[in-house]
Amino acid sequence: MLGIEIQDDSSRAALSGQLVFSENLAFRQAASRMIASKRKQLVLDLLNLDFIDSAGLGMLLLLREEAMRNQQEVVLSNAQSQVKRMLEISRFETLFRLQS
Amino acid sequence: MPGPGRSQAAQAPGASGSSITWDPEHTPELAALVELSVSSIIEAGLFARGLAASGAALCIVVRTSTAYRRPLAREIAVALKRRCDIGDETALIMETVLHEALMNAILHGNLGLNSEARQGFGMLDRFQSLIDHRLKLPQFSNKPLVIGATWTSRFIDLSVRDDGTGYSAKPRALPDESRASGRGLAIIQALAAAVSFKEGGRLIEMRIAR
Repeated sequence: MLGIEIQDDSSRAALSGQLVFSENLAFRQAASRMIASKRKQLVLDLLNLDFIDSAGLGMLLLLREEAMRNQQEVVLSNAQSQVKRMLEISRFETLFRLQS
Repeated sequence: MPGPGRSQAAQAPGASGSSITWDPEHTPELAALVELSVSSIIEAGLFARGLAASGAALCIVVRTSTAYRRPLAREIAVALKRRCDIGDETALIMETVLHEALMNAILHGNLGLNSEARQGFGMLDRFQSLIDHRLKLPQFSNKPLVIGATWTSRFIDLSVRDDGTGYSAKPRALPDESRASGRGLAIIQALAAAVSFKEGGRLIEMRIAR
């Protein structure tokens, strides 16, 4: 189950639970709101996200792609444990700004 | 119990002619799974195949539709963590590789879907529709998945076998870093101590260091 709490100005969202393929609709809806915010920097707070799979990583990449098209940047913040390891394996530090 | 899941369970490797033992006290999650299985056609059980004599083996046979809807990787990792007395980190690795292998087996194996359909946010809708459509068709939703685990003092060996058409399994490097799909096998290879593909790509075996 994926939890998404979006800040009022839609520039920041805190994810919790699992980001896996079956959550793609919820994630896409949140991503659309963030993109529509027109903010230059979009921050995903991953502190309470406890599991991500390859499809979840793919969704982060699709958000990045969409953001780049709109001259926006995606920042991944506070990844822990399994999520942190998955970002490392996939070398996401070359694609996103990562914040701890 | 009638139903396609049952007949497939009877054909599971190692299951025929072996005694089935079950220890619900130590595997409550899987016990719950079995209870559910009676109504939702999911088959689960321990079977004897060499190591099973010492209780060190597990085999679960599920229909594709059930595997798609249940958090099987987590349930199996939790059960194995308890049975094998392993740490949180190893359990998370098991859950991750099992989840990736299961999703590959479900989507690309038994449902016969191509991951190219996942390129682009807009295409996710179409991909989800294809999944939902195929899960409604018995020829796809009833296809079995066989999940196996054996363990020793050093390793846990996990396997997932699908009933798809197979594929040419080659060692994977991570895909183009910005590609939104195609990294599942590369993740498995990065986390597992060893990975092998058999039966024309329908069977994946993954060794996890304890």
